[in-house]
Amino acid sequence: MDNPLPWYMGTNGTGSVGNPTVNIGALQTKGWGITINSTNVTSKDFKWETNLNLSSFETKIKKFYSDAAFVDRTSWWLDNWTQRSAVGQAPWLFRGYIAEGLFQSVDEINKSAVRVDNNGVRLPADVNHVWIGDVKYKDISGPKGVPDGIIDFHDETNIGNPWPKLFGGFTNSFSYKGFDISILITGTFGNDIYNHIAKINSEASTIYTSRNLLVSAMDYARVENDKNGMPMIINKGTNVPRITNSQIANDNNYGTTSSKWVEDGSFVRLKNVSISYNLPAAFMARQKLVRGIRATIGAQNVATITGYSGFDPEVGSYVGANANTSNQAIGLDNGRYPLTPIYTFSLNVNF
Amino acid sequence: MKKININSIHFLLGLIISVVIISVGCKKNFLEKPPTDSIVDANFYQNDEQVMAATSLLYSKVWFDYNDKASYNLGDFRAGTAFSAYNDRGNVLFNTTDITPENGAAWRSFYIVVGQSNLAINNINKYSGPSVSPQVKKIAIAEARFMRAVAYRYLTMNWGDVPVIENNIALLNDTTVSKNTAKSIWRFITREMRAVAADLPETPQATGRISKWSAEGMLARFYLTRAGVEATGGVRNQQFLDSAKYYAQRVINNSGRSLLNNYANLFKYPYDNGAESLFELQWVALPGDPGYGVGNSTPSYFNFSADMSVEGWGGDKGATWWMLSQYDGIAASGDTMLKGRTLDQRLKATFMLPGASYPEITQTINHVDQKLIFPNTGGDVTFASIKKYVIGKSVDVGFILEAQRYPNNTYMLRLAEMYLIYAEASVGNGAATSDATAVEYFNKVHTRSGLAPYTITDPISGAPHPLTLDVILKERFIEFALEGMGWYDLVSLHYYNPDKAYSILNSQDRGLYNIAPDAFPNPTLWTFKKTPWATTERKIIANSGNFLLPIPAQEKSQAPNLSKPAVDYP
Repeated sequence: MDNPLPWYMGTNGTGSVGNPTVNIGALQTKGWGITINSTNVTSKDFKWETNLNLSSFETKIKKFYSDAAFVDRTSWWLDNWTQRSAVGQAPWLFRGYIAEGLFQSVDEINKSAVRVDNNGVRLPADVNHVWIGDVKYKDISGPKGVPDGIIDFHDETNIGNPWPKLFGGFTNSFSYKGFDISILITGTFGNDIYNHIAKINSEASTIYTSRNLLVSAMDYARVENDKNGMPMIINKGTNVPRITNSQIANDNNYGTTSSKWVEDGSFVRLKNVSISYNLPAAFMARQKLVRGIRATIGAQNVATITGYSGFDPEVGSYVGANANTSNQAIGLDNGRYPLTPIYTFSLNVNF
Repeated sequence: MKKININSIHFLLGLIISVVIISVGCKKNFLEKPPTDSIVDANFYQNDEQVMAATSLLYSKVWFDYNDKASYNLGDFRAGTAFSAYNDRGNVLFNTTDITPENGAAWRSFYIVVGQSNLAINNINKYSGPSVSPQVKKIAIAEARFMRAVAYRYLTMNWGDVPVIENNIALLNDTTVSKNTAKSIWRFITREMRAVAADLPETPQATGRISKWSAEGMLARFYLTRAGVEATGGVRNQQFLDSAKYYAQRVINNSGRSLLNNYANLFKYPYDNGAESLFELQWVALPGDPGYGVGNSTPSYFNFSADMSVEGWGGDKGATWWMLSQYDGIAASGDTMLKGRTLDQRLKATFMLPGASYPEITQTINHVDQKLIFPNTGGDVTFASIKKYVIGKSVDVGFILEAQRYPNNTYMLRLAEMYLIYAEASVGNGAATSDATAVEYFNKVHTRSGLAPYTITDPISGAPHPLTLDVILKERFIEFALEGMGWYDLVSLHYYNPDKAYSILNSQDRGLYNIAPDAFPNPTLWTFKKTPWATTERKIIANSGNFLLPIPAQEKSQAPNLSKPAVDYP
């Protein structure tokens, strides 16, 4: 694969040096698959067959053939969204901060870790820097490996895994006299999706760009003073940051990749249903012209059960502008056109 | 039976012979033979033309991501010479963060310049064939070293301590690179530029290529800044000030370059590689995909409207209130009004005021073409839109323009700066200078714009009126507005007098205003009033905590080695 290198190597951007293609490391995939085929009922008129296949795999990176402890794949065209591969882990885990809700009071800001300026001085708690209604991030680590009261890249961690723990398909076929019914259900379990499109469409501060926003964006934090003159969020319980012109706050709230936008991508989908009817031979025998007639009604992508809030949990990877085969963002939802339900009717006439 | 045997023997013999041939052919170097059906490093660089072609890339595409938006976002918006009312607000309000897009784009681009320059040097040394003349080889390597040094100047001025890389290939698997100290980077690039000046010819090899004078001009710029870098207790290094003067004067006297008579012609298409130019980014207008990255995209963001070019994203960009107040003749009247006219032709050539006419640009209104007269839209908020680098429509340039692919070059160094460097270095650590050459040089630039000469005795009272640093700084802000210079002037100042840099920045008004001409068209006087309701976001707070740019967050994350303390570069 292309060796992902830091930007200072000059391999990222217009007119850049091409990344060398390297054999970057070794990985191991272990897994299992089960297929069960059963014929549940067989009688003269009725037959019910079931096929169930389940599989699961786990991939681990064993080593890199370089000194690198990890390799990052950054989509600078998607707010620097990054996936990291590190030894001992699955490849391309989502990288980011852990969001811990919104700041509720000045007191809470003062007690929490915040970002710092070039001199290492905490950004002040005011409307232009860190304020009530801004996203609070978890202080995980610091230069010494322990929390240091500063939010910076040391506090980034793995926030999601795009690989399902289990996926499967479940087919049932029924035949009864001239009728055939087939039902296919597919599903994946345990993968994460980064809901990028929800992120960019929740930023109420960008309403002036005439962009559509999610309805939930209307519940942005409204900061007002309480009766003691202390600022607070009046619509308590909201998880949408305040509206502000402060670039520092907006970068904190929306420019930062965090667990806030990671969702469970598990789903069960009624993928395919078809019902066919063969006109009985006895009926056909009455004339010589037509030997057989078969009518089928089919439907695909009929229904999906999922906890995922986006259009479609089957996001695949981002293949839009700037992406190429070596840097696609896996498991990121940037508003891919969802699968459409398809309804078909067919009539086979056999002469 | 017999016949078959003979055939078998022939076959066997043939097999043995082939095996022998194959084994002879399979020496290790067989595998290293460059392909003959495609261009690769090893079969390129075979003659003078190919070597020169290799370095031509370094004049354009590698700078694209910097030139695109970062040039003016960092160079002008942060400096307060221009602003955008509704976009790029982080940079306009001096709140550039570690994820501001222009921060990352500029960082990546400067390191692309470094990386491609390093590769060019490496490849020319390694692969250039016997028919490449030693002279061309020397010049090509000098060009690459020039670009690399210029990129490092930008890097260290924006981010302070950054890693210096001279060989990317050696670092492919390295995860230990440290930052280098700003001071040692300045030493490195001055050393490099001196070597480059020795290697480059006095006459460029081709139009638009750099010459010895480009390098010496860059040395004048480097020494002037480095005098501040090596300052002790706020006193600039005198030796470096003298070097700045020395090189500036050499370029003025020997380069054969000259100031254009009319400032506006510096930016009237076609102006590329004119008499005043020492180094430009060389853009060409190619349509479609191949044109992206080799054309100039900055005018896209400067055009105030799509009706006077192929696109216009600059409707909310223009001079800041502070910038307008710098022009002679535009004077404050109370706190909320500026009023006046100026003889300074640079205002019209840099910013468009309502009623000003630009016959070289065509504007289409309701399907009717007309010569551009900058409209007076009225209302609480109007803009002194950007004129510099704006060249109009296809009919104005004579061929089909496409979005983000403009043909006009970007100035990186021009002769006017040499005159001002000489003047500033003459002031040096004193309060002012009365040096005749310094004043003469200053006036070359000052009077070219239509202003009366600066006199060292007050023409009315006769009192001494020597040339001060403030006067020269103001001249630079006006002369180079929207050429991505203002910010670096402030960084230069910051090296030895940070408080003065902060006080200039913190005094600036960057808020909204409206402009009223006294007549339309052909006004003779403009009145500027602050927008009454725009009371916030007029001033910024610059201090040591936000002056330099933070290294992009993603870069710190993917290269934790950048968090190690900076070390001196040898």
